[in-house]
Amino acid sequence: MTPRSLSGAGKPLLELRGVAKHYGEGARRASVLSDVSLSIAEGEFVAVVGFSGTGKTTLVNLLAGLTTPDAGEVSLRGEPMRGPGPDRGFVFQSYALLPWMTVLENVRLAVDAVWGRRSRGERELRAREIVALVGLSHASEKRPRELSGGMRQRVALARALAQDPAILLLDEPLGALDALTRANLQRQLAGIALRQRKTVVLVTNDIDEALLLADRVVPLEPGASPGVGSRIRASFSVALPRPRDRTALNHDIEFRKLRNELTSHLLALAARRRAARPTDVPPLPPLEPRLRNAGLPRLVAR
Amino acid sequence: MTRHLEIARLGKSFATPRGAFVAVEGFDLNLSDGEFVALIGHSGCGKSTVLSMVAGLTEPTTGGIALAGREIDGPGPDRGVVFQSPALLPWLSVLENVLLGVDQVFAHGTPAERRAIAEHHLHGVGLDLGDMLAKLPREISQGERQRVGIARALALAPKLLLLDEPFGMLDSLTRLELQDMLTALLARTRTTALMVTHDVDEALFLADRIAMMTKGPRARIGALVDVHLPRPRVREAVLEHPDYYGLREELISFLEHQDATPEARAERGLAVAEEIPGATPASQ
Repeated sequence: MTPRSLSGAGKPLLELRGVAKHYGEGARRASVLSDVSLSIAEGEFVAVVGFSGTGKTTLVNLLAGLTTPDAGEVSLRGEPMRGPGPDRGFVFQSYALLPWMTVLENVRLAVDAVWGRRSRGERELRAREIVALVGLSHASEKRPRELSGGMRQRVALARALAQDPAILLLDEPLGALDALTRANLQRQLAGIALRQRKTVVLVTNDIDEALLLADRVVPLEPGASPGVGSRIRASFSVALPRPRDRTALNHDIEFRKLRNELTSHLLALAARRRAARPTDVPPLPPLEPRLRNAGLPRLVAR
Repeated sequence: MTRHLEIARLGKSFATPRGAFVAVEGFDLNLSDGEFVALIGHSGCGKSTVLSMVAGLTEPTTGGIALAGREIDGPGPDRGVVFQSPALLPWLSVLENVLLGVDQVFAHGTPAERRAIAEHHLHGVGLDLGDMLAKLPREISQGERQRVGIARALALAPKLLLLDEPFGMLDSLTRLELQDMLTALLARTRTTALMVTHDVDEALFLADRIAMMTKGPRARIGALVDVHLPRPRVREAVLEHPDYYGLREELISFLEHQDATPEARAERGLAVAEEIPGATPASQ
């Protein structure tokens, strides 16, 4: 199978044009995004990667309509963004499940919100289908506290899918999981995006995750100097055939090339950020450590 | 080969109501001076138990450990330890956190000399001495805290640096940055290091040899891999090295093999009905 979209060439479904956003005022003013432009085509899977503190969450909140820009425009299907809506499902890093409800009830809540006019039986069936889709049928009567982190994350994903949104906004949804659970959920996410033709924006700091899932990887680059927010300057098309298999990719020349390019690109950004550091190293005095007299340090509170 | 660190027939059992639980058994490993060895394995396989015994924080049940020809008996400043959580004292500034140990180990130096040692190492881990020294741990980022933790360990001029998943709590990009910093730093100090990690790329980037641990109980070294990638390690060169992906695959298949047992899968909550139809098949 060929990638669905390479460079956002289709009609943009979601678009940011010259968007800027800051928080705080006066001395505490912090610019998060400066002049960010990004077009996301229908059916496209875009991964936004960047270092922590570069404004990735702000970017997703703008796309979700949960926050508004200071300058520039956010548009959805060519119209100005008017706030959150059921056409966009979110998954956050913190699962945000209702603790007193079972897995099925958490998902039912979302089904009821968008399928309110259908019969009770139809809604129940739909909720069960989605719980099965994320592989949690065996745990559908459990409450969040009885589940592992990975299972909770799957419930959050099921809840977002239950709305049947055209757009999925995923803010580091797998960040809190161990490597194996993460790989497993990545496979499921790839399968869902591929079969249901969703438009997906995935925020991640994991290069492999981005390359495994996305049609396009967009680094969110920290501002060149303090007071300047992050920008988007580069875009990496991921023209790897789907479905993508982690082990097979390891042999793929194109994958290796992209992985190396993206890693180097991101590390160069980090190096630039540290380049301004003064270089006068205090010399090391010629002292040998003495171990014998070194007992436990005395701790004195300041 | 000079044996700087010798770990021989190391074992650790814990008493449980159902009898002894043998976490580690028959663990042998020697490190030469200046060598970097990474210990990889799944969580819970006992790699941190091994590190903790080398640190002197846990007493071995069987076998022994010698550093520079002397048997280890409890913790000491000849071994610097960096944990996953930086464990800085929250009421002390960055400088004071580093000075705490420096003042003990270099008590025979002048205060100015001790401060120079602390500043030298804080600079070495890539921190800006200007505004960083007086900050409290809560005022700096997680990546910066971990840099302070590494500076604190190296400032005591240890014979051995022990790293227990030091970058495990950081986002994967900050992780890359700190790996770059650590490899450059150790190339200068030539400190012998033993690092626990479950990140295959991290192990390959930093280590001279990688010891792969079997799944516990009775965990031991299942295989040792030499990493011949040229030094100094530069990210682009490492990733483009013709052997890189071959080595990577060797490690991944070892780990996946360790994880493929039904018990291992059950333990991780990977149920039978895990895969959904149409999804990419499991890569095993």
